[in-house]
Amino acid sequence: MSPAVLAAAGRVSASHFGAALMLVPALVAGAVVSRLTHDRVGGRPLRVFVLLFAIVSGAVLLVRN
Amino acid sequence: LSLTVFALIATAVMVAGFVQGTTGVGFALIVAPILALLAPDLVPVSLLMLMIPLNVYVAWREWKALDHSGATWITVGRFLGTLGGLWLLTTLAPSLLNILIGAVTILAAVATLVAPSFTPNRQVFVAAGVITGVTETATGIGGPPLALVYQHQGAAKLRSLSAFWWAN
Repeated sequence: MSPAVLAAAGRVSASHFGAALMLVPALVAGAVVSRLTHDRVGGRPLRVFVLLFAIVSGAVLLVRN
Repeated sequence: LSLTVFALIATAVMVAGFVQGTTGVGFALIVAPILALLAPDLVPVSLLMLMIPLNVYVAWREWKALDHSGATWITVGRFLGTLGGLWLLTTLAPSLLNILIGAVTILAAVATLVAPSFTPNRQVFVAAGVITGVTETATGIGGPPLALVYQHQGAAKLRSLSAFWWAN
């Protein structure tokens, strides 16, 4: 939904699309590996990792600006 | 993009795809701050584009677990929020947008960590949809309100709804 709205507003360019396309193989690799783990991982340890990562990277972004 | 920067971004995308496929959240939380630092032009558009194939795949895999009623109400709220997010994106200067991304990332993560257990109702679904629409359109990060609403309802439900939501 939001990419469509952004495109309608003229905020999408060919370079955005090209960059996304170049990153698709990396995305596929990650998603395919998750197929092996999603039944086994309850999610909690990984979620805590994601949230801690998010706090650190968000803080880096704030400090850099 | 230099090769080093591309390799760093590709690694982040791979890890993030794994995390999202496993837990149902986290793709944007990992990729958005890294893109904002290394290739700010690509936020949020390329990030949102990458989420489409990822979530089509997860939605297909987890279709059985989808909460249809919750998904409908969240979509209503999300549509309204998307317009608000577009307004923010076109109004804010890029440096302010980066500050917004940093702040949203931290707030979302802290809220997800400390929120108590509750049973969501219709108003909660719509509100989560509105907040997501605003933040995903402006910054690429939209999943945390959904994670908050569904975090005590099981990982499969969260994965399927998260995926359905992003894929449409």
